[in-house]
Formats: sequence, C-alpha cells, structure tokens
Amino acid sequence: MKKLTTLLVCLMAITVSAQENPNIKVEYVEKYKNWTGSNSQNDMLLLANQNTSHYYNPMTMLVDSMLSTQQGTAQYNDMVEAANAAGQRPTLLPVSRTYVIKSFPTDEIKYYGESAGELGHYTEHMSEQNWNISDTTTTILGYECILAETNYHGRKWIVWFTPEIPIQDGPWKLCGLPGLILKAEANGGQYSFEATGIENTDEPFPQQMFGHALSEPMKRKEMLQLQWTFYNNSAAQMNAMFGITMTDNPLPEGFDLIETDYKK
Amino acid sequence: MMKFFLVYLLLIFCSLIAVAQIDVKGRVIDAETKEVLVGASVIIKGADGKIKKYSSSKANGDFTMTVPSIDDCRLDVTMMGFEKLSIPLDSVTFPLEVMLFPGSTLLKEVTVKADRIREQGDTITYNVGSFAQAQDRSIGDVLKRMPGITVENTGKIQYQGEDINKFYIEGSDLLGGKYGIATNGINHDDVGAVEVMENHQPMQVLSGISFSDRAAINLKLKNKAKATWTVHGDAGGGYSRQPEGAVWDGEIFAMAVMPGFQNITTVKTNNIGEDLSSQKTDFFSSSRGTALNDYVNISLPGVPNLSRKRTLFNRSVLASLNSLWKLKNGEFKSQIDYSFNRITADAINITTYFLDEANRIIAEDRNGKDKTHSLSAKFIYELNQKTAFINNTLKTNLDWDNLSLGMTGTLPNDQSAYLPDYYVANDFKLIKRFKGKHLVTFKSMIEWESLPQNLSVNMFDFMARQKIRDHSFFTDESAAYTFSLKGVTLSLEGGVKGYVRSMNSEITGILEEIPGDFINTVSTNYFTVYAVPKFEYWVNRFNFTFNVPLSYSYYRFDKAIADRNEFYFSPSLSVNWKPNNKLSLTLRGGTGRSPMSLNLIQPGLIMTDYRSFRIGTDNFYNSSSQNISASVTYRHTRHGLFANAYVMQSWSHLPYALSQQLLGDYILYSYADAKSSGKIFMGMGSVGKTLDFIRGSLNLNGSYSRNESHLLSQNEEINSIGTSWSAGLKINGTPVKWFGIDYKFNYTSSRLEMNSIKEDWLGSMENELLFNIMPHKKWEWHISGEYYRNELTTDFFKNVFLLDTKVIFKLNKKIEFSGSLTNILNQKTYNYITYNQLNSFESQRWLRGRELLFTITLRK
Repeated sequence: MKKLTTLLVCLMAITVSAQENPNIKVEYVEKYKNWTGSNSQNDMLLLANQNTSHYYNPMTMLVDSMLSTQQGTAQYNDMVEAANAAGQRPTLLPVSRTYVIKSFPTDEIKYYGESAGELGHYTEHMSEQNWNISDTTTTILGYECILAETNYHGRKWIVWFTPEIPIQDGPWKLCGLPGLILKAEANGGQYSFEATGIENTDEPFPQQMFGHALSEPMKRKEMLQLQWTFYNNSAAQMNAMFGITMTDNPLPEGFDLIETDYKK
Repeated sequence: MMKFFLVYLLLIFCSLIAVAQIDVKGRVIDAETKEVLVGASVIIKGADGKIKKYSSSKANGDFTMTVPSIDDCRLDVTMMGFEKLSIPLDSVTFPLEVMLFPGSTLLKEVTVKADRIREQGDTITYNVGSFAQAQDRSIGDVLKRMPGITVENTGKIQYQGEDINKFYIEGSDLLGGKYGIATNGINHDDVGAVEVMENHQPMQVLSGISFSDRAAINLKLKNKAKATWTVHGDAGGGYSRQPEGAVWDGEIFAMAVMPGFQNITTVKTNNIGEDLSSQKTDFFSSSRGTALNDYVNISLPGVPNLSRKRTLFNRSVLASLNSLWKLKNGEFKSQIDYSFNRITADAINITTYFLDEANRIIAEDRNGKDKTHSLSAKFIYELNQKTAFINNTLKTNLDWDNLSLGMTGTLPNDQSAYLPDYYVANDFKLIKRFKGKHLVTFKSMIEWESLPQNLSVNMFDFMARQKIRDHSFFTDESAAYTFSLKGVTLSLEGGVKGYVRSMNSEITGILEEIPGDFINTVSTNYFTVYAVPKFEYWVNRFNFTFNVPLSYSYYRFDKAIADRNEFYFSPSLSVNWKPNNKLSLTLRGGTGRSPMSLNLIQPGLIMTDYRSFRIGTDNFYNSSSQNISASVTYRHTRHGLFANAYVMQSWSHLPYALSQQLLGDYILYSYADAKSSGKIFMGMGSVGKTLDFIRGSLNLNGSYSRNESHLLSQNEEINSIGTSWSAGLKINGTPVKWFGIDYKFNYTSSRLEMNSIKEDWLGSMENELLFNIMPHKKWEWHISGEYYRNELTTDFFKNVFLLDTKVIFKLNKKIEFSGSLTNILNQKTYNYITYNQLNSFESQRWLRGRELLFTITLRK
C-alpha cells in the first residue's frame, strides 16, 4: 500500500512536472573540435524548473518543427529567404539533433540523438555522475561559481556551478550539483559548454521532439560505437552507400567522442 | 588474549566513529500552502562557508544527508520561486521542518540570444586540410574524399547522389556549369574550407516557394590566395613507344579572387591520351531547341571494351578565360573557351575465305584523322535579389570539325567531311515576387543554329560531293505562376514556341546504281501553344506529383507534306513514400504522344557515308509511349549497409519503320509505313557494405535488360530481342597506414535473338587492381594492373593485360617530381582472329605503347 502511494506521488510529480512551465532559460555555447578538425560551435538552450529540464538546439528544433508540416515547410522557406535578404547565401540547417530531457524525481536522463544519420534514444541515471566539490571559486556571468569534478563515461569533467541558482542542472547530460552548472570542460578542452545568457522565463517546454519521429530505442554504447565507426571509416561508408572509390581520411589527432567509454 | 583485546578496542573505536555521524534530515514545505516542495536544493556548509554535503528534497519533500559533525554548520535551503533560507545546525533537532516563503529568486539576467534565428544559416563546412592527402593535386581530388561528395573524372560533382546546382568560389558563381575547370585546376592548398549548402535555392526570389533538393558548393579560399593572383603549373615530358616519339603534358592555371573581380585562366595541352575537351563541359546545359542533327555520319574506328586513355592518339589544347565583375546592381560575367583536338585512329580488318584453289584474302584498312577547333563564349548579366531575379545570357558556340577517313580494301575510298556548327542564343529570365507567396516567371529563349555539312567521297569509280545547308531558328516565350496552399503546391506554365528551319542538300558525282533525287529543299516550321500544370501534394509520409502537359501545334512544311494540326497530352504521376529514415519507395508512371523528329522529313537522297544513303519520309508521324517504374532505396547505417534497386518497363508504338535495301555495294535506308512496337524492361540494383576491419568497403551491383521489338513490314513480321546482364564487384581498403588496395571486377554478357533464332551469349570481363604504397611522407608509389577478357565468339576469348606504375617525390610544398611508366609490358595491339568453317576474320587495333613521363609541378 505504501509502495502504491509512493508510486502515485511519483506519478503526480511527473504529471505536475510535465505541466509546469520552466522558470529559467539558460543559453550555452557548445564548443568542440569536430571530426574534420575544424572548430564547431552550437548555441544550445536549457529550459528548466525544479523537476524537469530540456536541453536542445533551438534552431534545430525550430527547423524540424516547421518541416514537420507542409505549412511550416513553406514558412521555413521564408526564413531561408530572410537569410537571403541579409545578403548571405541561405541555408538554415538543423545543427544538432541532440535533445536531453532530465527528470529529477525519477533520476532519469533521456537522451535523443543522431548517430551516423540514425536517430536513436536511451535513458540513463543521473546518479552515474559522482561529483567532487573543490574549494576553488570563480565568477561567471556575475555568479559566484564553485569548481567540481567527475569522471563520467570515459572523460574527466571539470565544471563550475553556482549555488546562487538552486537548480541542480547543467548543459548536456551534466547535472546533480547543488546549483546550476555554468561552465563545463572535458579533459583537454576538446568539448566545452559555457553559459552565455540566463533569463527568467515562463514560456512552455517544447511540446515534442520534432525531427525524432523516427527515433528508435538504442543502447548508449551502441550509439557511440556507431558514430565512431562512421567517423573513423566514413570513406568506406560512402563507398558502400554510393559505390564510389574514396581514399581514407584520417581523423584529427586526439579526436574522440564526447563519451569515450564505448571502446571495447 | 591480547589479540582479542585489540580487536575489541578497534570495534569500540569504530562504533564511536559511527556514533559521531549525524543524519541531517527533514522535509521542505511551502510556508503558505503547507505543501511539500520537491527539488529544493539543500546544502550543508561548514564554518568556512564551504559545501560539505548537498542533496535535494525528494518526491515527498524529504531530504537526508549524513555528516560527521555539524559544529558551526549551516543548512542552506533554496528553490526557484522561494526565498532562500539558511539555518544554523548547532541548535536544531532532526527531522527538521523547513518552511520556505514564496519569493522571487533574483536572477542576474544576461540576455539569451540563442533562440533568435541567426540570419546566416549554417552550412556543412569541411576543412580541406584534414581531407587532403599526399597524392592530391587539385581541389577535385580532395572533394572526392569528403563524405557525401563524389567527383566524376570530368570534374562533375554530386552531393548525396544528386548533381550540385551551383559552384561558388568565395560566394561568386564565376564558372557556371563549367566548374570542372575549377575542380581540375584549383590547387587544394589554396582552399581553406569547402562549404556544402544543402537544399540550396540559387535564385533568392524562389526561396520559400521552390524548395531545392540540390546542394551547392562554395570554396572558401585561404587568405594567401585572396586579393592576389595565384599561379601554378606543371610540365611533363617523356617518350612513348607508340605513337613513337616524344610525349608531353603541361598545364598553367592562374586565379584571382578579389572583392569586385574574379578571374580564372587556364591553358592545358597534352598528347598522352587525355581528352581535354570534356573539361570545359557545361554540366548545367540543357538541350538545344534548334534540334539540328548531323546527316553525315562518319567516325573514326574505335577499340572495344578498353579504357579510352589506352587507345586515344591525341594532341589536345584547352584554353579557358573566365572573368566576373561585381556591379552596383548585380554582376557581369564573361566566359571564353577554346579547345583544339586532333585525334588519329587506325584499324585493319582482314577476312580470309578458304577456297579450294587458293585462299582469298580481303584486307580493309581504315585510318582517319579528326581535327576539331571549338570556340565558345558566354556573356551573362545577373541580378539576384529577394523580390526579383534577372538573368540574361548571350552565348555562342562555334565548332569547326575536319574529319578525313581513308579506306583500302574491297571498296577503297577516301572520305573527308567538313562539319562546322555555328550556334548563337540568348536566354532571358525574369522572376518577380509579390505579396510574399506569389511568383511570376517570364522566360524568353531565342536560338539560331547553322549546321553546314560537306562530305566528299573519292572512290575508284566515282567522286561524289555532298553539300548540306541546314539552318534553324527557335524561340520559346513563356510565363509561369506558382503558389502553395494547404499542402498543395500548384504551378502553371504556359507559353508559345516558334520554329523555322530550312534545309537544302545536293549531291554531285557519278552514282548510277542509286535511284532517286539528289536534291533536297525542305522547310519544316511549327508554332506551338502549350500549358504545363503541375500539382504537388504532401500527406503523412507520401508525396504525390502530377504533371499534365498539354500542347497544340500547327506544322507547316512548304511543299514536302500537307500542313498539320496536332494536339499532344502527356500526363505523368509519381508517388514517393518514406515510412522511416531507412527506406524510400518511388513509383512513377506516364503516358503520352509525341511528334517524330523533323529531320526525318526529306524527299531526296542524302549520303551519310561512302556507301550509305538515306531517303526521308514524306509523311508526318506521331508516336506513343507508356512507362512505369519503381525504385527503392534502403540504408542501415548501423550495419553499414546500403542498397538500392530500380525496375522499369516501357512500351512504344511507332507507325513507321526504318528499312534498308542493298543496291550493289551500297545501302539505302528509308522510312515506310509499318506498325512497329517496342518493349523494354530494365532492372538494376546495388548493395554496399562497409568493411571496418580493413577500413574499406565492398560493393556489389547487377543489372538486367531486355529490349524487344516487333516490326510488321510488307506482311512480314520481324521480332528481335536483345538481352544483356552485368555483374560487378568493388572492394577497397587501407589495412595499414602505408598500404592501400583497390580492386574492381566487372562482367557483362549479351545475346541477340532474331525471329526465334538465338545467337550465343557473349561475355566480357574486366579486372582492375591498384596498390598504393606510402613508405615515407615524401614518397609515394602506385602499382596498378588491368586485365580484360573479352569473348569474341563462343568460347573464344581475347585477353589483355596492362601494367602501370608511378613514383612521386615531394621535395617541398612548392615543388614536386613524379615519374610514371604506363603500359610497362608494351602491349601495342588489340588484335584477334575468329574462325568459322568458311573464313577467318582478323581485326587489328592499336593501343598506346609503353610510355615514360617525367613531370615537375611548381606552385606559387
């Protein structure tokens, strides 16, 4: 009976969290050296409240949401035109199809992503991130931040979080510190996230993950292995796909995925 | 005893430590509503203000943390939307009841810009440096290696299997469809990045209405290559055993990319079997409306089933000058190209008839020379704006082709043809957009072409001269309107076409055996009004496209045939279904009626070569056809598996047929009323799979086709069926860093069947193997072999094996040396003899012999 009550409470909590609007909007710049060796930079958004959060690329979401209807496709094309008007050659492309949805009451992180052109999703637990909080402090965007570290899925992450914003969240999958993570860096700086904007908000969470209508359940390591194989052997993939001969292209020195524990 | 005592002490000590652990627990409650608060942040801070422990309130508002001591500690409880509470832990008892009062968490706001769509969209950008490899020379070599991009030998680029629709250099479209000049010429070291712009709509005015599924490519140059002239070139010289003598291969390439001006100038020449004329091909060109065809049909003898580079005896020059000026409004471009090609070919056929008294040998030697000069120029003005697009292109193409072909044998003769082609055209396009979605397009095309053809044939018993003058003028003026509404895109195009053509021909000489008129005076003119409505509809994962072109034409043929009025209607429907991102299925079908080629109307005789004559029809015919096709593509990236298949069936019905008649040594072709029908079935498929263990891939492909035709002529039925199939395999990989391998295999086989008499299947096989060895970053060594096995008659094969090698040494970034030896085994001929009971047939063709070439490459 008690279990049932707990379950009910949990369910209610989820329902409530699903209805509640986020109360904070954070912009992160995601930087990394991509597999072609050039620097990539994506603007990401974190919409969060006490119970749940969505982390995604707003441009991708907008484009995918528009492309999901014919009417929207036409509007999308109008936006392409706006780019034209600015005197630039147009293309408004989805940048990153990554969506990270966290549910704090259930300790779950739902990850939706694209790996070598395949859409997949999986769930993991927040408790996989064990943080060590240090004494070091700094100020980011006017907030006093404390440095913390964790070894997570093959990389050592160094992050700065601020207890001044009492949301145990952060960019990408990172979370579980007593305050919002404003900056995060994987060892060697190959991947980094830094907050560049913070606002109070009452806009609702995205209604659905557009562009992921065809997503399939996958295993996390399986998804990473697929991506790695694609990067590491893209010429062969292209050869198999189009029947053309290409020579191999070596990956840039030191390049690896954001999670490296997929290697057998 | 002592030991037990120690253990006992240790246990007491441990329990004391355990006792010293304090459980800090409690519940967080909203002070106003008395409801539990979930997700509040609870932090225990030490006297120094440092975080000792932290947690958050769970679903029932409870929290628990264990700390060794709470001396001078405080508990901070915070939550968004509530005032922060800080409780000293020294004097409290657990469990705590923490009451939070609603209040705003004051955020130091910093404006979020991310969800404002950046005006410049994102593009897939490839860094050239990371794709470039030791053996690369031009940007085309590097493009080939970028995922999704394929570059054909001619320089034509595809992205994800589709031809690209624009090729930009620093955002300007300098070369139009002739971008092969750039991909074959620009040094990859001058290019910093390659941008692939997906779904690129090159006409700004169309964006939002017409969604292009094509991509465009933009080359971003490195700073060192901007605002200056970059020049590079190479010079190669060597010796060849066949054609005996010196060989050369050279190139100069200069490029300037300035803010208001761009230029690419290149000059190339060689005699090593590389056909340069293909490099100035306009990949975006469409067919000419003037629709003139060569009547004279003589060509150099060819070599079957061997790559062209092995058999081409050439001297080629190509010069190309391309400039672009940016004006206040729009831009102006000029593109001028000249090419010269001299090709020689030789072939000998020997037929031996086994007779009782003595064998009779008939030798036929054909050798010819083709000299072509080609000059083309294009002048373009373009204005590309949001609400208007204007493009005017004035172009001309002048070709001079001199072909001579000598023949010894049973019908010894010399043919020489002078086949120039003069073409001038102006294309104008205006697209205007108003009220957002409404778009009107005007197009005007005016073309003029003259195709004079002179043929002279010298034989022992006559000397014939033929002079043909063929001119035509074509114009197409059209307007189009497009709009989309609730998932349906409707476009309507309507216009008029006018065509005026006159052809005169005359043959002089002695031709006793050939009956008929040797003079033609023909004019074929038409006027057409047409409309092309098109509907496009999307629902769920289906896309329906319905095209219904309609036209009415009035034909006027001076004296030859009575004037005609014709109505044409050719609807077609296509359906595409994409149930998921792995599978795509397309079905297409269409039916229609079309007029015959007007070149067939000609009452008198025309000589097409030394022994063939053609007499045209004096009737006007329409043909009808139907077709259905299905294609499917499948990809499973996770398994590295990609497959596609295509099947097509078509039917055609013609009310006329070509018939041939032997008049002594001559052949007379003519057209006659006859019911003829054809049926074609075609199927092809391919499967690709990655081979991760050797960092390579495998491809299998196959095709099958069956071409059936029925002809009913003078109550005689002729059925013929041609069947062919092919299968291929490609495998490549780089198992170790310094060693790469590439293998190709292809087998084709075909059979002909005439009125149920089946000939044998004849097959040909092709093998190609390449090793690439890179012992050091300055050195590179290629070894490759080709093996051909062609079946000439049943179970009789002709085998050819060719071996090549090349060594490259890179002194530094600016200077490179290479030495290549092609056809090491010096295979000089492609000869074969076939036998049957009554005779033997011997054929001789020539290959390029062993060739040594040293090249030095310099870059500025």
